[in-house]
Amino acid sequence: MTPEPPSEMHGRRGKSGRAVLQTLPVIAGTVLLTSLALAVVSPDQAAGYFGRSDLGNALLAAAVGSIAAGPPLASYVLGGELSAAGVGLLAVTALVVSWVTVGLVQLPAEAMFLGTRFAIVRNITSFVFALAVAWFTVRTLHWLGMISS
Amino acid sequence: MSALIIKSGRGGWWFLATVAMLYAATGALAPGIALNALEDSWKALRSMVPVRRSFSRC
Repeated sequence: MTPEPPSEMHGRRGKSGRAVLQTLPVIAGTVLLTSLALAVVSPDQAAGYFGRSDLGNALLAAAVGSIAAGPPLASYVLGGELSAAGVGLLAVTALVVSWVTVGLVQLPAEAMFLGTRFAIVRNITSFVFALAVAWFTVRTLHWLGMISS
Repeated sequence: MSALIIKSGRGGWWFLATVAMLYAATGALAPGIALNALEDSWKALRSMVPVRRSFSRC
């Protein structure tokens, strides 16, 4: 295998450098925006807004999960708190699924790397499917006799 | 909106500048929230470093 000519290597390094330079502010901005969103509306605060119908709770939980970002572990903790507070399993499942699959805060970064149309369609689809998955999960658990109501 | 800005060449820096302005506005209204968010961001960014190192070993 013959080594690449120096000019070609420098060209590639230049391209990589430009790509890193373009990506760096997006990553930093996304991380900063995520932290700010979580600091302004903390998961604990969000828990106080529940207490409507099952569907209303599920929609609210999916919305909170879509806006919130961070490790999935945080959604399990919040989901556990909600469940302990009497919020239905439909809402808890919608929260956990949308937390992992929908990312409104990261939307600009996703749009940059994968395209605006793709990012918007993927997030909307994921939101709808988060609700569907929540419904199927509750139905399945009910069918298996693992939950009574 | 920010996604559209990012599409154009130096959009990433505009995005970061917009976030910085958001921080400035939050900091003016509630300095504690902005500082906490900054601290969390720093921790998150630092946690990304081991990932980069593990890639460099490949």
